[in-house]
Amino acid sequence: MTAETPSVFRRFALAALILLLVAVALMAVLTSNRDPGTLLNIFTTRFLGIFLEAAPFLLLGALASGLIDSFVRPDDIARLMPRNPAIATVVGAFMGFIFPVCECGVVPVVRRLYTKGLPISVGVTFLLAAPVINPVVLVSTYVAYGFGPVLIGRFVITIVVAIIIGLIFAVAARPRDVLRASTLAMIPPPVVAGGSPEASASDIIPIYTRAPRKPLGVGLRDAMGTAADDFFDMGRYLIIGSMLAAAMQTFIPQEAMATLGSGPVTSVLVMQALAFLLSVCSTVDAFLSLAFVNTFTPGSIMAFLTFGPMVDIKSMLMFAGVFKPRVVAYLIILPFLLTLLIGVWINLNVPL
Amino acid sequence: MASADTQLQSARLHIPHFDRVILAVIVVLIGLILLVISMGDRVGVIVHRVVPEGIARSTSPIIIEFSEPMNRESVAARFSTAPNMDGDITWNGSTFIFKPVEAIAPGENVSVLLEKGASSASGRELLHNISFDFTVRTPHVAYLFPANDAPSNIWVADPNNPESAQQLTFSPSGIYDFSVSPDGSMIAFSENNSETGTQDLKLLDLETGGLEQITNCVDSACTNPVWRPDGQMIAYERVELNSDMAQQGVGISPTRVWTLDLSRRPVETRPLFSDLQRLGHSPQWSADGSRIAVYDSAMGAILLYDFTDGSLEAVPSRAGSSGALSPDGTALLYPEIVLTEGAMTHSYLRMVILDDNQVIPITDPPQSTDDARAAWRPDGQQIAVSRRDESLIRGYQIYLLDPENFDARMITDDPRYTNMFFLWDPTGQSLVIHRFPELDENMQPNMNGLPEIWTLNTLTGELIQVAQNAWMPRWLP
Repeated sequence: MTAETPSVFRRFALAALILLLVAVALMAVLTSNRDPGTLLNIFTTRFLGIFLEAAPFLLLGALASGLIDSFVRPDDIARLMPRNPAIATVVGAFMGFIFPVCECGVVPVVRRLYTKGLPISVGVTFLLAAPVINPVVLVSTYVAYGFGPVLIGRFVITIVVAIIIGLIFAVAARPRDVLRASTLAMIPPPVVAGGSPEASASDIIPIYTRAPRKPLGVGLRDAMGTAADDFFDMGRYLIIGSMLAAAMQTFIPQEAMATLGSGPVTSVLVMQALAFLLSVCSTVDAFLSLAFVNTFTPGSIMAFLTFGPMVDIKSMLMFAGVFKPRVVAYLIILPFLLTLLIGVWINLNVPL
Repeated sequence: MASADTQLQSARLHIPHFDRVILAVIVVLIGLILLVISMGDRVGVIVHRVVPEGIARSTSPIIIEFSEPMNRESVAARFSTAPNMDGDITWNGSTFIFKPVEAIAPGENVSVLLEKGASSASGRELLHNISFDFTVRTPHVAYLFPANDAPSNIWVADPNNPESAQQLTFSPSGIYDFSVSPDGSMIAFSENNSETGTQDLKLLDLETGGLEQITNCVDSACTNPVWRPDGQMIAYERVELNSDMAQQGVGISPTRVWTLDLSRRPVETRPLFSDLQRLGHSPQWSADGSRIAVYDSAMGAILLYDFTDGSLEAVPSRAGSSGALSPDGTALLYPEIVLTEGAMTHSYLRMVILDDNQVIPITDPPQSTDDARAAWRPDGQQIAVSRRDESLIRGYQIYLLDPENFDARMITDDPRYTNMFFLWDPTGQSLVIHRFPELDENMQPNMNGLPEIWTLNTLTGELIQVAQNAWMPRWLP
């Protein structure tokens, strides 16, 4: 597999999604007894509604990402890591408050942090938690749902799932089990990832070289450039996700959706599949999920808001650039099963 | 050789520690998921909202909002009220709506029970009984006040406590006319625009206080909103002012009837008749909402349009009224102008049976009566008529007619008042009446009289004055 392979996959996935969208729309128009022009108007209105509501948060996330890229050095974070692997793993769940990036931006950051000696388990926890545990997503979820069970549940579940998976990696994973050869090659020899059987407590803080800080003007210019790149890069996924969501609302009969969405288990599975397929950035997915609140169960909404940011089509492709293929599979299966378990438990035991 | 094969096989079967841990975790998680599922549903279907609770209107629907789409038969089978009521069940997604066929009597205490076991479309069940109670309040009366000054605004009063009247709208330019939604939750009104001379229709939500403009009558007067009995559509009158063509001598258009579809967002409006040569005013709906009657002044006839088959019938009449459709939609009462001896004209009441177009004269020459307005009691068992019988009493008085034999009984007999307009309350017990004091206490012509709003209990004969200097009364269930 070459370095270009994920990009090819990504393009293929994008093309497949667009084709799926067009096919669904065509089928719906052909089978519906409503005027195609009216359907198109409704679709356009809904698409614009979703996109315009989400775009400011994407812009905010991109700006924050650009500023961090310019002014925060990954080695600063690595130096501040606790020596205890378990505590370090827990800290990893909250690193999103320092690196407020959604799932699109977190993978390159983790990869860079690994090269600076970040423990594997901390990186995995950060990778899974950061798309939700950051101030931008906190604000967007609050704007969408207000302060209540959804906001609290989203953050608590994400932290719990990320820490559990991080601890599993802390107990069992060594860098050579997990990372791709190309990533391993970037790690300097003295560095041993903490939490692995070969690591001692003193190994957690790696030896690294301190990168010089950028001057303010240069940093700001670079930050704006990075922000623009991030915005347009992630904006593509947002546009496609918004179109898919609008298409689902417009062309797929709500009765059929509601029937799927009412089973305590099937609803969670459907929303997990949707989260994976829609691949909408975590900064905006709370607004998308609002469209499903009245038809889907609370547990499935929670699964959508927690599983989607951890794993989706685009992040899966990006994982493949850092981790070995079977580890990518684990990073999909473990969050899937944990959020499924929590979602089903909520549906069957918590009256919301 | 054998040893080498064994080593190779062993290497193939060897699963690294990391993968073994992950696989073990996956197995455990799958086990936990199955365990949670096997422990069963401890929540079941959730009821998010029930309406009404506490105090209700006589026409309030009973609403139960579930957390998910339900098996409708299973809900209907477990739903009951005490006292037992007949009603129509409809669904809006996961929301169950029960509309009693007849309005509930004021003061009635109603208990609602939904027994556990009702199931959802996905098979989940309601695990507990849902029960709630409400008491039906006395219908209130809404009206425009003041009648002798501007701006007029909508007020509402409890007939049992008229001093408690409250102002509902605060329009600086004034309210032109209004009507109350069948369930009493909203008021549609036309508001004057003092700058342009136009009127637009607005919706006032009495539950939330929310106000929404539902027409955009830039160069039109949009007035007289009339609710379809299901509350999903409004018919209204529209006159085009043609201001931009005034220089060419084009005046205002005749009145046409338009409809507003409230079930769509944004609200959609369109002419009732696509043929714009077809005029109409004074729209009124049949009880089931399938028919609408309007008066076409160009034809000199009442037009009856059937939405179900698109048919249009015309009932000739010169009185300019669209009459009164019976609650079952089979008959239409309407006044007709008849020239009598001595070149006198009188307004006589007719009833047309719509199935066979048979016209039954209820009053006819040589009776010296004028029948101006008729209204069916909601159960169709009586007809209220404003009648002037100069041989008996001055002014229009209200009579109750038996629809079988048209025997009439006068229920207002105060010669000082003429009773211009009246409406039955939803329960069919009382009338709200717009009265005008033609004579003063000395039985002399009342030069300073102002219209008044009264209610009349047709069972007890009790008359209550609700407001003075007020007009256009409407029941607020």
